[in-house]
Amino acid sequence: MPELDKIIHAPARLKIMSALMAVDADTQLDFATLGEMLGLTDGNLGAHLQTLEEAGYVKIEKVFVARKPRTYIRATARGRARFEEHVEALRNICDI
Amino acid sequence: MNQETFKQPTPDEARAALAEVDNVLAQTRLSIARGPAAPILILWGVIWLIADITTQFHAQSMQWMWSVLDGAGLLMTAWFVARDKVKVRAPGGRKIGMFWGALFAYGMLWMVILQPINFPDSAQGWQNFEPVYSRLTTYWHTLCMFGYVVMGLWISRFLLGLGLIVTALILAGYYGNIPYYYAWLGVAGGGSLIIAGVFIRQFWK
Repeated sequence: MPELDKIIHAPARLKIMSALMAVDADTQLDFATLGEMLGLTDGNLGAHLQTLEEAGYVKIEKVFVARKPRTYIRATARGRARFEEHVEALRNICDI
Repeated sequence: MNQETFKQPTPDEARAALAEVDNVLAQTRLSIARGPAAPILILWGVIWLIADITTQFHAQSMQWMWSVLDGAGLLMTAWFVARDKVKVRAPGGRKIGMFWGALFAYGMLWMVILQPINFPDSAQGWQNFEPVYSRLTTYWHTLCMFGYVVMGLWISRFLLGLGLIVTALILAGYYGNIPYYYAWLGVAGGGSLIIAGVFIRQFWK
């Protein structure tokens, strides 16, 4: 029986995980692009990403592109599995 | 539950959460696809428009004109892609470039080796060359649209539909023997690419 995930259930984190699930497993999204797409401030996004990273749901990588620092994020295999289980649990609640 | 107990959402709350998930999934895909797609479509639409309409009235210039415009188009396409690359790091993105390279190589394989084309060097020769040239032009235009169809299968149904519609317009012009066929290619084919690019820019947000 799929279970809800408390970490993913928070609205902002659900949106972050949804955005990361929209791309392939090995594809990373830029921090600024992610914040812009989801309408989240840098501070808010950073705090939620830290929670997700601590849970092992996302991987954050800081790199230099054209000599400018950029932060890229991707969902881990564990995060993708938990997200799918969470969505399945939500579907089951709808069917009640 | 995976973690500590928390309030179970009601069916309405669960439905709202699922709707939000679907919305973010769709918006993210469109936002990523939109980045380089709009300027690239508009660019190639303008190239087709200029090259085809010019060819209609001055066929002799087609050889150098397509070479120059295709070269410039490829450079600008690479620039558009590189400009957008900071948003998304996708190892799979390289496959798209390799696909277009392979498609172009197969196109050249037919034109240069399997069915070599000898371009005429006189005005009279160009008149006799017209049937070959119209087939050649149709071949390259439909080959490009085949690329859009494949891209559509990967990325978005919009590109799939665009590829099929423009292919249908090209073939309608070719088999319909319409007058000013090359101008038709420029307006119907190039025009469709430009409209599609403007549409993506306006509505894929």
